[in-house]
Amino acid sequence: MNGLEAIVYHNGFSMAAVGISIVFTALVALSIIIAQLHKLLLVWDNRKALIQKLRGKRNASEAAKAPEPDVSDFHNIHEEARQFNILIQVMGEPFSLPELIYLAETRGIRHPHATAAHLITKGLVFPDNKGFFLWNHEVYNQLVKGSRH
Amino acid sequence: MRQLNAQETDINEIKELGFFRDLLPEEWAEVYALLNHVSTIEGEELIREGDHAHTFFIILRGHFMIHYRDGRALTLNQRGDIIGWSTVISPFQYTANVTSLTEGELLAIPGDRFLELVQGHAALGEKLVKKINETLYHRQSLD
Repeated sequence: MNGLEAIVYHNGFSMAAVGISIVFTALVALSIIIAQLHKLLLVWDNRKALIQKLRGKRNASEAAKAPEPDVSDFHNIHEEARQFNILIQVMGEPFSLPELIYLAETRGIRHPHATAAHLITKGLVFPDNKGFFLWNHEVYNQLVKGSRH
Repeated sequence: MRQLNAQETDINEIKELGFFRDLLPEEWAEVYALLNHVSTIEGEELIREGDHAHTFFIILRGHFMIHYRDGRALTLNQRGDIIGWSTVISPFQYTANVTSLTEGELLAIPGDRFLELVQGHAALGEKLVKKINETLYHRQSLD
């Protein structure tokens, strides 16, 4: 028994059909996963904000009455400035503020967004009016000198 | 974003914001009916570039970063600063991302209703668009 006859006898066509179905099903599943991957990555990128948001919802009623969080350590401008200064030296000037925040976040620096805002408010980081930012070396040197005395 | 209740909103203070200052009492009443008082947390993404312009914001408190895909950015922290002018300018799509750098409070106006208001009331619309244009003029260095 040879050729098509042998294929039919051993259910070759059925097996081929099943095989094709399995491969196509897997490909469709894979394409759906890939198509939705950006949503998963978005959730992952915003995980901190989402977690905080979820916690905020859970404690909504308490949050309204809760006292201001203790951010005394966070207001240590010297340490913030030192950490951000290192990152800016790596990045070069002028630097992109969102990139600086991203870099700080990936390096595990606490409160990178609020720290950036704090440094801007204190004049350590200032805009170049072209959309990028500069480090105020003069203010930083004064800060370093002040912390030594 | 968390919706704050009416008790947390000081109407008189809001009325004195630059954006509303020139409005007549009846015009203010129309705008006031659209205002929602919301709060944000540090790192919260308020607006995403390319999205339909769903909300117009006015800053009450906090520090916000408007940032573009190419890395450029500007920060806003003045009470009364506006975010989301795309709600009244075609093609009604946000042209930048906006992230809350600190905890913040804003007034939020639904984009579609704000557009209706601006288009439906000539005098009021002109005043509001004029304010928006003034803001855009000052931010033009990034465009």
